[in-house]
Amino acid sequence: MKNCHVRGTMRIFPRSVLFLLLFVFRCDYDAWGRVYLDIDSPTFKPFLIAVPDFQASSGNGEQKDNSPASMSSSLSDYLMMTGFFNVINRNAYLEDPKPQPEGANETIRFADWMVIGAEYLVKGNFQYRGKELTLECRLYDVIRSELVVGKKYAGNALEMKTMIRKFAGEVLFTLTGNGGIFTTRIAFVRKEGKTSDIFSIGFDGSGLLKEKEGKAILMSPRWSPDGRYLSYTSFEEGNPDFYVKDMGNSKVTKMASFQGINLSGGWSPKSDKVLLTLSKDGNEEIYVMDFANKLHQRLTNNFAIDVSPTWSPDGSKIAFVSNRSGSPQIYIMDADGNNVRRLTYDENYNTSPSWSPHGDRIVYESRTAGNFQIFTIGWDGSNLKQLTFEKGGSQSPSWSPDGRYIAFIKNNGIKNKIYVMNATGSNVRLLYEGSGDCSFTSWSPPIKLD
Amino acid sequence: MIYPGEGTGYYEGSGRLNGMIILSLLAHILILFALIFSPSQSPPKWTFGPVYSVQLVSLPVSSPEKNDGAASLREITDSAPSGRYIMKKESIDTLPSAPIFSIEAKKKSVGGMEKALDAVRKNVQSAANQPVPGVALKGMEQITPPALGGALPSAKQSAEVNAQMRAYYALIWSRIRGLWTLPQGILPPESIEVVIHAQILKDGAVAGVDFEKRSGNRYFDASALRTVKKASPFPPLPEGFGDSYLEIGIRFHSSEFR
Repeated sequence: MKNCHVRGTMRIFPRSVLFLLLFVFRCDYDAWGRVYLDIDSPTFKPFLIAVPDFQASSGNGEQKDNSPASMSSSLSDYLMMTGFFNVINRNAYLEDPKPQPEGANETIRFADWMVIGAEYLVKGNFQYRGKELTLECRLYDVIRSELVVGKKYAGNALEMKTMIRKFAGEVLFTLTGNGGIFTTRIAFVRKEGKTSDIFSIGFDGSGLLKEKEGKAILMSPRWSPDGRYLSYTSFEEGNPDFYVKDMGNSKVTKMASFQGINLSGGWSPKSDKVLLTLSKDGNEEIYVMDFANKLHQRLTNNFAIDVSPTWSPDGSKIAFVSNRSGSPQIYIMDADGNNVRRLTYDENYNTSPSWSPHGDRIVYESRTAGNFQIFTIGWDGSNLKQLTFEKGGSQSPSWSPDGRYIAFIKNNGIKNKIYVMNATGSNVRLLYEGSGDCSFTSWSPPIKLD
Repeated sequence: MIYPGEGTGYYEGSGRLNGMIILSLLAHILILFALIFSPSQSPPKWTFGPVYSVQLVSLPVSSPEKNDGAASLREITDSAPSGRYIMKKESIDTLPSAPIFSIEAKKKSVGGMEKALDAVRKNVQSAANQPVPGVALKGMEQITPPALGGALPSAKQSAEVNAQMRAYYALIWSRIRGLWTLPQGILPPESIEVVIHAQILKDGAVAGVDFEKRSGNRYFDASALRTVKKASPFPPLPEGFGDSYLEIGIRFHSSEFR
């Protein structure tokens, strides 16, 4: 936005001269045929959406907790947390909030919604039959006065939130092209005392699950891109060894237990190889391990420490951290270890790189003014952007699978909590604050819940 | 002590100073002149029609008013593990019939409130048809309409109509530009463009809005189309404009247009 403003200011004089010339030369409009107007650079603003209370249809049972208002509020909350929607305050609605009489046809006066600025409208109605809930939701385009998408869900009344979440995903997908974010999970380490556990939590902050109970320190959880495996490093046998958990049957396999460090790195895009940091040959070097046969191959060969490898989404490159230039900096090499080049030059401590799913940017943490903050940079070193600025510092960034969000750890001066923000640094929201200190975020791909 | 060199330097410096003052004066006059005659809004860019081929394509949409309550289409059935409830998901391709809003029925239930709402609606409607303040369209009444297909207008009339049309284009440009919004994160990194054509009728109503060229990004295209619909109706066409409607093309660029 700042850039736009600067450019706009610099263009005042040339625009004035251009307009002056137009007056002087007096072009005849009728000699031109069709006139074309050029509109550029849209204003960035979330979609304005109205979500009135859902309407109850007749039924012989009703859940006290699932009131019409709570359903629409849940949907509003889900839409708001995406950062793509701004839900209009229901006090502004012109529509009669009273339920429609039984048997009456649904009436939508789009002009009333347009007057209050709504671009989209969600209408819902539901019915209880014993413990079963049937929910119908429809998304309308107010400007074009038409139905965009409608879905009907039926199931246990206790699954009301799941139904609402699914429809929120439908709305997001319909209007932005990607709606799978509601079925993703964020893994992290929670340390209490001398031990730590690995947990995962949903994008909306619900469904906290303990993925691995640690009898010692656990580190660096990493999801495989197919969502089937979760790798991590554990000190439970005294040495930092590398393990993989099969999320389908919860079976844990020890993959590497060489002398020294066996630190978990990123997975290949096909989930068939995994990157590791091993110190078995003297100092920390990066290796690639074939997941099927555990054969590993050394990729870096340097006197310095090389750690935190992450694959590019096309599998052709690897970003990693090395102090070969004197301070920890981010480097990029080809997948076979050749063609190493330095990526970061700003600040003297840059680490924890994570390659965006679109392949164009790398997010990392950088120590600036005494605190770590989150930055993104183009993979070619261009367009460096600082995303976090708060005093306590922010660390351990991880991209969402759609590349629109970043999970990270923020310190409020007392302890580390998990936050999520849009990839632009906006819409920062607290995802989890439990007992203990959180660290090491890793975002899963969409996972089928049922 | 006076050094010859210093004296020479003084006179040379004085001459350069005078030159700079004159140059500065000229620059100020030029800037002042430009500022007086430049409009507050950025001007529209008038260009000739595009050279690419034109293909009119409509979006596959369904309107609630057009649906007659036909049977719903079951899309997905999700099955849960045994012992759990089954949650089914269906796609609703049709809607219950949505009748036209009945004012009488509303009046009975809410009375004065409905009157107030009607007043709000009328105000909004009339505001939409008012010219945007700040853009002058004066003197239109005094101009004889120069029918484009009819007799040729005089040079003076033609010039006045041209001025009116420029103001009108600036006005609708500003209106569309102001209403074009998108959430951050939807636009692709590369620059894309969509072209929409429309006909503006004499009363400002907009007809025949459709794509002339799509960008390949359906979300970007939809935002452009919705912006034109949101901006309509436009103010009535200048009286000097002789045709029954004005045909325009609107090019939406994802990045700054140069």
